[in-house]
Amino acid sequence: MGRCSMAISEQQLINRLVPTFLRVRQTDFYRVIQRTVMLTFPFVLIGSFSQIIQLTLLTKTGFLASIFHLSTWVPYYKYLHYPFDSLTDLTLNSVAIIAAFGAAKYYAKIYHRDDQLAGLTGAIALLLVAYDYSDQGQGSFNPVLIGTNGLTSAIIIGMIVGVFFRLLGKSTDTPRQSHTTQILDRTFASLLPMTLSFLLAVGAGLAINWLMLLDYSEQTLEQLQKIAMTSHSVGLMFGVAALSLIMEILGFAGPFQQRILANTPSMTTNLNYALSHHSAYHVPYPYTAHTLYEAFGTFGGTGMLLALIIAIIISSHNHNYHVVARWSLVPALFNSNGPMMTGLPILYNLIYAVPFVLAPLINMAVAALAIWLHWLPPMVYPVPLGTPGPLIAFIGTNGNWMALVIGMLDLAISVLIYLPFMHLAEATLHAAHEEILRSEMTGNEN
Amino acid sequence: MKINLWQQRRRNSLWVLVLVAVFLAALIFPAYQWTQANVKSMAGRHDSRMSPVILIPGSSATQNRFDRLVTQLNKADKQRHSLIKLTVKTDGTIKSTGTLRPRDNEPFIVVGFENNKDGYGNIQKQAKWFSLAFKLLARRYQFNNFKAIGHSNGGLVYTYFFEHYFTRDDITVKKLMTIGSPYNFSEANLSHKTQMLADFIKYRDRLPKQLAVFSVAGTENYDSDGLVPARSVEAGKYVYQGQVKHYTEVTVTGDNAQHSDLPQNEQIVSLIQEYILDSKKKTPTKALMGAN
Repeated sequence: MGRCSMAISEQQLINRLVPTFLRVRQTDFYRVIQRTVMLTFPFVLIGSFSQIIQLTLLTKTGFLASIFHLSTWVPYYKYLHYPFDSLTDLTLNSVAIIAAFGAAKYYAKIYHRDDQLAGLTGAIALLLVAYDYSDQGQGSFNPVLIGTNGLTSAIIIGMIVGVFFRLLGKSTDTPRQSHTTQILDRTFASLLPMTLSFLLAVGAGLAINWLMLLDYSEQTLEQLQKIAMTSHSVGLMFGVAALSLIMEILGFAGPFQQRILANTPSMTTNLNYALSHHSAYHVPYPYTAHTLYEAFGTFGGTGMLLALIIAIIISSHNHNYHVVARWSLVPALFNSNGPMMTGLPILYNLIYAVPFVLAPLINMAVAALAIWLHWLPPMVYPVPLGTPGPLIAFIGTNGNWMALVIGMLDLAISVLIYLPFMHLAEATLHAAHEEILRSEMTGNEN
Repeated sequence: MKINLWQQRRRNSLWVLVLVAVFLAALIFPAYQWTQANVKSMAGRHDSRMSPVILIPGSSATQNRFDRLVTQLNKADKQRHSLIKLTVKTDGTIKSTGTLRPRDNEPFIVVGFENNKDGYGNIQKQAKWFSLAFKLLARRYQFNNFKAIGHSNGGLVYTYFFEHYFTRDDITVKKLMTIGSPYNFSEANLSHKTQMLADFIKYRDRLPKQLAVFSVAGTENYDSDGLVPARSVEAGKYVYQGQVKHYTEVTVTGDNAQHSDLPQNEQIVSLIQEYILDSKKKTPTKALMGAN
């Protein structure tokens, strides 16, 4: 009975919230963002598969390479990673170019401008902004602006290009005639917005280089990361974790984003203590970003997305959700969350923001409680790259079975946290779909 | 009809989920074995009391270069340190002679090279070969710290090794003594920096921060040990000073202060005994300091 009434109230809540989210979805702005993010999905998917092969199989310290000692018996192991290096670099690590293309193209399309030229202009504008003007690095680009962390800035750049096309370009509404003079006409109509976009982009690129804006922001981020990693205040650590998660869903790199492999002083101290005392209980720093956030808060990558995938597989009615979840499962197992972020998409998605932040924090709290009760020692031992989320704490505690149990418990809790939000997102999608059907039936395209 | 389609889809997804779950479950045991073995080896190294002295001879000298030094040290130290000799061939294979005496925690290990020629290019190669030998030693003797001595170009090989190959965080180098090492080759004028010295200075921030360095110069006359200019040995300060924990320069004169004789110079033997070897008992200096 209790479950039934809860289900009803959940349904009521969904009914009340759907119209609000529907209105947000239907703004031009949001539509452009959504379509752009989904455009990047196939590239991110291929890049993520390439990356997990590179990381877990073909890096000596990777997870599968470590536990199966691949480097000792696979022939030519040293050279096998090369093809995957280039593939990952040009898909996952340059996905922002595609985003800039998409944002400019879709924006121009809404206002009936030449979307092809607008898209290409957007992509080149991004490359101009990211151009590295150092004396040695001829023709290299700033990796922060080109990769997944540059998605948001790329969409902004693409939209600005789109605005130029809207304000300065001519409408291409006239019936299509592939007469050369007309094509030329259209090209010349786009020349002004193109030139302006490029000039602005070059200016922005030079400004970034000379003022070293990126260096500053990177340094601030590093500083923040350092404070968070070296601080032993549990409250601050939870705060920084929350901040990282919020930044991540907005497409920026949060302080905890780069998986921190370099040993922090607290990690070294913990490890030495554990090795000296032959036990990991009572280490000096049991509650750190490493022992809580990395060990229990990142299954399937930032935001515990492995839990959302399971939630979808168990109870989603949406065909697309099932397809994306199936394809994202293997990358997510090795903590690569790109496919889910762009495929569903989770990025910029207000509905998923709540569980995305909440699930990792609750997991960390559960783990902290278990450590406090001495059910398991904090993880202090090294964990290979790309270790599946539920196994991280297990390996990092030298195979403590309780760590495995807590990991599974955390995963189950996260699935429960994600379920209602997934239902809400699904209902919104369903309503949007019906809206489109209705407008098509009445022939009233708006 | 629609319901059936949905169920079909869900069944497909569930199958994928089950497959992945089985795959994950199959990984649990290998992961368990890996971490147990890894932690065991880390603990073994952590508990190890082994602290070898690893020596690199200069160019044109073989792995037998330090025989007399070790004999003299054993006499002075009143204990028998083992002497183990490694030679790295040009193809990277390693030949080793000598054995570790039981209960000896401070063996002397000499690493020589088949190609022991002079010149910056050879020093870079020798540093690479040394890194292979070091990897072997670290695995074989499971030490977590060591002391380093380099005679002549051996000191340069060590410097290049520390800047480019030494990345292990489970092993620390406590002390380094370079004996008559020409940081600026035969160039006596410090305003003319050789490529090697410029590179050493360029990458100096990679040197181990906790290292204590002793640079020993020998002099026959006021400016040379007969082969290496004293100013070239002195140039080591541009590499190490302010970068490592301590940097000490020592100049010895008198008998056996000629470049090739330096390893058996009595003063240097006692310097090694005092500064490089682990002290077994209270040293007189400490007692004196306590008395003050």
